[in-house]
Amino acid sequence: MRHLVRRFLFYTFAVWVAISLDFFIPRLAPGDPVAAIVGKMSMKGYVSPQMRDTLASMFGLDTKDPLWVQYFKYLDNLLHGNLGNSIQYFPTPVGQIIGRDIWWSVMLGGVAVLISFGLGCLIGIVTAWKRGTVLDTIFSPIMNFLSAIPYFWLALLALYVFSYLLSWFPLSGGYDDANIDLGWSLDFIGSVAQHAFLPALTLVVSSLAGWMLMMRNSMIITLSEDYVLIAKAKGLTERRIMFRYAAHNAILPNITGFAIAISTIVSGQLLTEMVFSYPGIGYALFQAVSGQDYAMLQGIFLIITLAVLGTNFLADMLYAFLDPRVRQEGSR
Amino acid sequence: MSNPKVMIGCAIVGFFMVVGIVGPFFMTSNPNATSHLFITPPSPAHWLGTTVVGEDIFSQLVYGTRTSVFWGLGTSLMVMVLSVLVGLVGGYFGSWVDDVLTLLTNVSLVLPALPLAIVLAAYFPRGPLTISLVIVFTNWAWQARVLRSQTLSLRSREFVMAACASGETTWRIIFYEIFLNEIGLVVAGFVSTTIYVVLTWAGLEFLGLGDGTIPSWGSILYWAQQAGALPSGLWWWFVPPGACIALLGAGLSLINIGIDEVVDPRLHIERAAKVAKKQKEVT
Amino acid sequence: MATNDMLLEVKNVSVDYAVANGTVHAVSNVSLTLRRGEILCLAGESGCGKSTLAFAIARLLRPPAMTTSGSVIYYPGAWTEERGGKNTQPTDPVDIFQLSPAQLRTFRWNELSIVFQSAMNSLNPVMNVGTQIMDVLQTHRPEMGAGSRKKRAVELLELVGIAPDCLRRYPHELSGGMRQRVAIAMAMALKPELIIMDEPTTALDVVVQHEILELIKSLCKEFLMALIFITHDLSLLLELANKVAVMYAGKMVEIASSKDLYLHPRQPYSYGLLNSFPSLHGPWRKMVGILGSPPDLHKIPSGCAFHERCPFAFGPCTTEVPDLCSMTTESPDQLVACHLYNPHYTTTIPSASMFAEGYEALAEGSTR
Repeated sequence: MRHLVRRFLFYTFAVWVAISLDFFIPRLAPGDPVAAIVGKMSMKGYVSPQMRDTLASMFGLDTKDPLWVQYFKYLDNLLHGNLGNSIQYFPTPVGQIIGRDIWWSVMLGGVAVLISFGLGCLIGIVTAWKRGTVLDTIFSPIMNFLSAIPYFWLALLALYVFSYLLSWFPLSGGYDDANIDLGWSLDFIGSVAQHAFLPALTLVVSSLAGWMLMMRNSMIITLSEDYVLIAKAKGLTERRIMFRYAAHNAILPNITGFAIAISTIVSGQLLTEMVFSYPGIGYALFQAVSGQDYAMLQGIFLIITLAVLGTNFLADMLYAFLDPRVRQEGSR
Repeated sequence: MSNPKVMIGCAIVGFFMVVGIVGPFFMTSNPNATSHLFITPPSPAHWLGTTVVGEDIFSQLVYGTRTSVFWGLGTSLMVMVLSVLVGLVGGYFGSWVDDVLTLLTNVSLVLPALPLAIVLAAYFPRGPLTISLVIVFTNWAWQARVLRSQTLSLRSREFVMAACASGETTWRIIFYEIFLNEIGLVVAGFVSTTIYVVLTWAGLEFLGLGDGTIPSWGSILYWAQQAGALPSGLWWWFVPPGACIALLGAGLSLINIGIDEVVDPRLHIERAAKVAKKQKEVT
Repeated sequence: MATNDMLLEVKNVSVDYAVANGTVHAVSNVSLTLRRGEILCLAGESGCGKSTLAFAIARLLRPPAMTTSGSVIYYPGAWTEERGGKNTQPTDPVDIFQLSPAQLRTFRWNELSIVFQSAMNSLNPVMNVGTQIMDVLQTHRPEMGAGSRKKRAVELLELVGIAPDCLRRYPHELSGGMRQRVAIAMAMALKPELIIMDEPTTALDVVVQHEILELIKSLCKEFLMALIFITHDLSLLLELANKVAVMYAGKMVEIASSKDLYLHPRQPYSYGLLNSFPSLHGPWRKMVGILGSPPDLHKIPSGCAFHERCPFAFGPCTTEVPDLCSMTTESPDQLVACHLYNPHYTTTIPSASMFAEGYEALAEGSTR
C-alpha cells in the first residue's frame, strides 16, 4: 500500500503542475492578447463589456492584485468547481458545457479502449503461443501495417467510405437530434449506437494492432523463461500454462505500457471526435480552438488531465494487484 | 544491413526526403497561387485538382512534403538532444540531480501531450517554430526515460568504473563510454520520435494551430476540412496528404522493426524454428 | 542386472541445433542406462551437451534444438495408488520419444520431474509457492480435494525443511536456498521415479550447497528415487553419485561407478578433469590441467573428439570414433571410449602414472 500512496502523492503533484501551467501560460503569451481576441471577435459580432472583462481577468490584466494573489484566487475558484465562463457561449459556465460533453467521450472512449486492449491482448497471447503457424503469419503483418496508420486519417477514410460513399452511417453527431429526443428511449439508444459505431471502430482498429504487437513480443520473451518450461514439464494443461504462467507475467509490461499510452489514447480520441464531429470533449476542444474560447480550452485541458491521471492511478492499482513483487517495494 | 524491412523503410523515407529537397524546383506553379478554377478534380493541368480558392493541390503537396519532412526531422532531433541530455545527466550523476530530473520526466510523461500542446500553441504566435517548440516541450520525456535507464545500467559496468579509475574527465566518460554505447538506442529512439512528431504536427495543423499559409500535409487537411471536402466527396484533396503521412509513418516503422529484430535475438528465433520444423524432429 | 531393476535405457540419442550457419551436433549417439534408485551424475565442461541430453530425455527441447535419432526406454514401476493415483499408467516399457502428446502429459511429473539451476527463474514470480506445488496435484490427481492438496503441500515443504506458513509466500520473498528447496519439494510432489537436476546448487553459496546436497541424498534414499544430476563440479559428484557419466563435445567418453572413476579414471579426458582439482592430502604434485579448449561444436574434430588435446593420441584417434565399451576385466562395469583400450591397437592398459607423465610432458612441450 505504501507504493500506492506514493503514486497518489505523485499524481497530486502532477495535477498541481497542470493547474499552474493553466494559470501561467495565458500570462506568458506575447503581445496584447485581449485586444487581439476582442478584435477578431468583434468581426463576428458584438463584444459586450462583460465578455471583455472576463477575457481580461483570464489573462490577469484586470486586477491590481500581485501575481501570487491572483494565483490563490484561481486555485480557490478551481476548488469550488469554477472553471470560468465560456466565451463562445457566453455566459454559460465552462463546467456546465464540459459536464454535458464528457459523457459522450467517456462512453465512446471507454468502450473502444476496453475492446481494443482486451482483444489486442488476447490476439497477442494466442499468436505468440502459436508462433510460426498460419494464424500468426497472417495476423502479424496485418497488425504491423495497421499500427502505422495515423488515427485521424483512418477516421477520415472511414468517414468518407462508409458515410459518404456507402451511406451506411451518419456523417456526424452523437445521435439524430433532429428527430429524436434526449432520453433513454430505444430509438435514442439505437441512434447513439449508430452514430458511435464508426468512431469506435476506427479507434479500435488503429489501436488494436499496438496492443497486440506489444503483448505478442512480451509473450514471446516470457515463453522462453524457465518457469514456463517447468510448467510444461509438470504436465499442466496448455490453457493453464498459457494464461496463469505465461500471459499473467507477459501482461505486466503491457499494463505499464497502457498507463503510458493513456495520453496517446486520449489524443487519438480527441482527433477522432473532431473528424466525426462527435459531441464529446474533443469536438468541444476543436471548437474552442477555432472560436478562440480560451476559457474553454483551459477548462477542457484540466479535465482531460484529471481524467488521464485518474486512469493512470487505476492502472497502477491494477498492476499492484497483478504483480505481488511491487506491493512491498517503495518504487521500481 | 540486408534486412528487407529496413531496406524498404529506408527507401520510403529516402523517397520523401528527395521529394522534399528537389521537388519544389520542379514545380511550375506556386502553391499559394489562386486561380479561378475552384475545386476541380484531377486534370492534366492540376494533377490533384484545385482547392476552394483555386490553388493547385499537387504543388501544395510537394511543397508540403518539404515542410513536413524536414521540420519533422528537425523537431525530432531537438527532442532527442533534450532527451539525451536529461537521460544521460540524470542516469550518470544520480542522487538529487537524478531525483529532480526523474520527477520532471514523470510529470511530463503523465500530463496528456496533445491537449497541452494545443493549449500552448493556441497562445503563441502561429508558425512552424511555435509548433516545433511546443512538440519538443511536450514530448521529450519518453526517450529521456529510456536513455536514463540504459545509462544507469551502463554506469555500473566495469568499463565505466575503469575509466573513472584511470582519471578520465567526466564529460569524456559520459560521451565516449556511455553515449557511444547507447547509440543504437538513440537511433531507434530518433526514428520512433520522428513518427510521433510527424503525426502530432499534422494533428496540430489539422486543428488550425499552424500557419495556414505555409503548406504542409497537415495544413492541406485543415483547409480541406474547413471547406467541407469530406461531405462533398472531394477525395483528391484529403486522401493524398493523409496517405503521405501514413506512408512515411509506415516507412519509419519498418526501419524501427528491422532495427529491433537485428538487436534482439530472441525475436528472431522464428527463422531457426522454421528450419527445425522442416526437418523431422521430436520435441 | 535384473530387468525389474532397470529404469531407463537411453539408446543412441543424437540432438542437433539448427542454427543460421549450419548444424551443431550437441549430442552424438549417446547411450546410457539407469537403475531404480540410482544416482547418476552427468559431468563435463560447459557446452559438452549434458543439459541438452537431459532435456532431450525429458522431451523439453525447444526449437532450434531437435532430437534426430535414438530412443529412451522407460520401465514404469509397479502401479500403486500412491504412485499413479487413479490414472491408468502404462506397465510395459515405453519409448519416451514415441509417446503421444496426451500420454506425454500424463507421463510428465508423475514419472519424471525436473529441478533447474536457478530456482528464481523456475518459480513463477506471480504465483505463491503453495499454488505452484498444488497445481500439479490438481492436474494429475483430480480426485484430491483442496484440503488434501494443501495437506500434501505442507508435507512436502516439511520434507525439505521449510515452514508450512511459506505456502502463501511469493518466490521473491524467499532466499535462494529456500527457493531451491521449494523447487525440490515441487519435483517430489507426485513421487516420481526419476528426477533430473540441472546444476541445482551452482547458484548457491557453499554452505547452502552442502545442505541441499545432503537433503537430496537423504530424499533419494528414503523414497528410492533415481536421479540424474548434471554438474561440472567434480568434487560434488564424487560425494553424491553412484555412477558418473563423462561427456565431451556431445559424446559420452566414460561411464563408471564413482568409486571406479575416482580410483582409476580410464579415459584421458576424465583423468585430466579429476586431476584439475588439487587434493587435500597426498604428495606435492604439479598441476597441469588440460591444454587447449573444447572444440567448436560446428566442427567437431574427426575420429575421437578429444584427440587434439590428448597427450596419448595416436594413429586411429584422428580417423575412427572410439566406441564406448567395457575395456578392462578388473572393472567390467566401467565403460570407456578410447582407442588405448582397444585390443586391436595395444595390449597394455595405461596406468595413472602414465597419464600423469603424459599430461606433464604435454604441458612442458607447450611452454617451451
